[in-house]
Amino acid sequence: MNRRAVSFVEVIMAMGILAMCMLPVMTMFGSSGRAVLKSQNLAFAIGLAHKISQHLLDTPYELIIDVPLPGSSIADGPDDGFFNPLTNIESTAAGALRITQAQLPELWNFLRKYEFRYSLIVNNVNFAAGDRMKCVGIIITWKEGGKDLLYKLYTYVPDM
Amino acid sequence: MSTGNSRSPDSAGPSPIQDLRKLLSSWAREAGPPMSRPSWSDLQLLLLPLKGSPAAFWDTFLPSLPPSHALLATLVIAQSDTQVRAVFLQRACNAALQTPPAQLFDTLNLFPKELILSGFGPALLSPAPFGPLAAAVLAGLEITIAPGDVPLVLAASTGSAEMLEHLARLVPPEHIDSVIQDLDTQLDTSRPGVADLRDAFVELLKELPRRSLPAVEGDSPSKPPAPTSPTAEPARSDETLAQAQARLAGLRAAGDGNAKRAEESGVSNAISSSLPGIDRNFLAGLVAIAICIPLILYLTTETDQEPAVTTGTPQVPAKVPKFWTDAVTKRKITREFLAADNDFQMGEMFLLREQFGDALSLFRDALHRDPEHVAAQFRIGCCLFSLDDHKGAAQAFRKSLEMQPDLPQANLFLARISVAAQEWDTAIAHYQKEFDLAGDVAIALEYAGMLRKLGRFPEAIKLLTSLPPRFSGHLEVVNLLAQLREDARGIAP
Repeated sequence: MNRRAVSFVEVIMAMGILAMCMLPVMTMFGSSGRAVLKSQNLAFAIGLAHKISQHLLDTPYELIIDVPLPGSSIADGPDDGFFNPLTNIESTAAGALRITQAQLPELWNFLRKYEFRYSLIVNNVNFAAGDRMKCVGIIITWKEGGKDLLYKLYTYVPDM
Repeated sequence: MSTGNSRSPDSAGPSPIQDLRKLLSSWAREAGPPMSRPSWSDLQLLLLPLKGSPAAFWDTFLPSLPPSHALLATLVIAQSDTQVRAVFLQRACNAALQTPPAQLFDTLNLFPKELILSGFGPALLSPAPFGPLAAAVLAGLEITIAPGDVPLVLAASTGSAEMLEHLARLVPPEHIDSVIQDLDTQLDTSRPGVADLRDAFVELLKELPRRSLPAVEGDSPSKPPAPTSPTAEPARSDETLAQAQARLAGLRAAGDGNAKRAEESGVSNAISSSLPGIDRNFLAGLVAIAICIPLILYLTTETDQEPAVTTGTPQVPAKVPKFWTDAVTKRKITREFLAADNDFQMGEMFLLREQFGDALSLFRDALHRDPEHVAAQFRIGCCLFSLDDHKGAAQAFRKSLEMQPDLPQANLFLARISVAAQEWDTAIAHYQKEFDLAGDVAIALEYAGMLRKLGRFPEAIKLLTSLPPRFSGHLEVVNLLAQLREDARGIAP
């Protein structure tokens, strides 16, 4: 007599076999996804550090000061000249855009999601009278996959 | 045999009915425990999809079957779905009336006692022939009813001796005393004959442990095993006959809502009853898929789940972690390392300005803060070399090579120190190591220059000719090679 349907046990066994077959595939997707995520966040951190570095060259020497660890949050951060305000495409101060949920929600979401922060370690180096520099360590930190990650960049700002 | 689980008898014509007849009859003929017989699973598969067929179909079809087959068919359908149970168990009662007692108990033994109580409990309140039949069936299967229901059932009974005896067996033995009290208080003895009925029943209850079960009309039923005896819910004083019937069926009264009934039938039945026409196994498969896929995703993503976006929530003040992981080098970064690195970076500025004393001090500070700072150790060697402390420099370079054997330039400085000390073999060994590590043309030129000074022209020529092809046109390489070949010809005999 022909079978009319498959039993529950057969369905479960088939699902088990399918799950076993899918496991390496899903693992592959998972690991490549993590790799993409890591490179995305590292590239973003490098961009942030270089943005700070560029700003430091344009910052009055005396105003370059420490931002101690754990650092300042970039999303919802204070007016620091680096990220807040981020940009202003208008001619008045009213057009200034800050990284807030209201003004730049996508960027704000991303920065809050990974908790991107920056801190500055500033050292004054005096070579001789009138010849001095600031050695600035730019530290970008964020959270990714349960780890605290860090990218550091050093820049030297002479007293012009 | 045709397949499919959603067909109806109207659309499929006579074929499924013939299949059913054949299956029922083959199931009846097969040997072994009834639910292990080969036709059992096919019978269920064929019958269950038909449960939604119009009442007219069943009214025609069931009476056309032998009574025991009709009873089996209705019970198979009734056991799977609480919603259709009441309708089909009434048909089962009809079929049971016509079934020989031995076959009746054989068939009923296949099914859960709760199901039997659901079907035959309400019939206890029905007039003959259903009432006596229900009492006989329940007593035969050793199913008891709630003690509070006994007065109601007794009042509705025919009062025959056989019926009373069966009813007495429906009383749980541990509740006989309370039932007798209930009979005294709840029965209206002012009505004619009721007092005699009560006395006769009480007499039976008191004698019950000594009596054996009477036979059902015309035959003696095979006594079934009864591991557990289900009991209906207790009675309530002010209820209608329909409510009492529902309670005797082990169900709630009609007004209690469908949600409660769905709970009784379990998740599987609840799903299948809410999606009529869809196979239960198919639904189970869908549920399994729905469970497996998130499980696989969860297992494969492990702990690298992305953190959820905390939209709209205020940011919690961050704590300084014990360490970070360098996103580039994967090295563990502590606050001590950051402080050491800070000193190191300042030392680099002094080194660039050739202020070796200040630079050395800063590199030593860095190494003191983080003893594993390889770059600081190497730079100490560089400063000492520049300050002509070759012994100290060599020691620093060796330490840095111990910390990182493939550290670039450490072997180069050691070679230079050896040249200065005129330790040629040592110098050659260090140059060779550095050249093997880096393969750099500048190192090759310096190495070849030293070999030329030593008069080892063939080795120097071999070294420069082994450079990668991209350096074959390098001006310094070409010049040195020409000089080396000339020098080699000069010493040739």
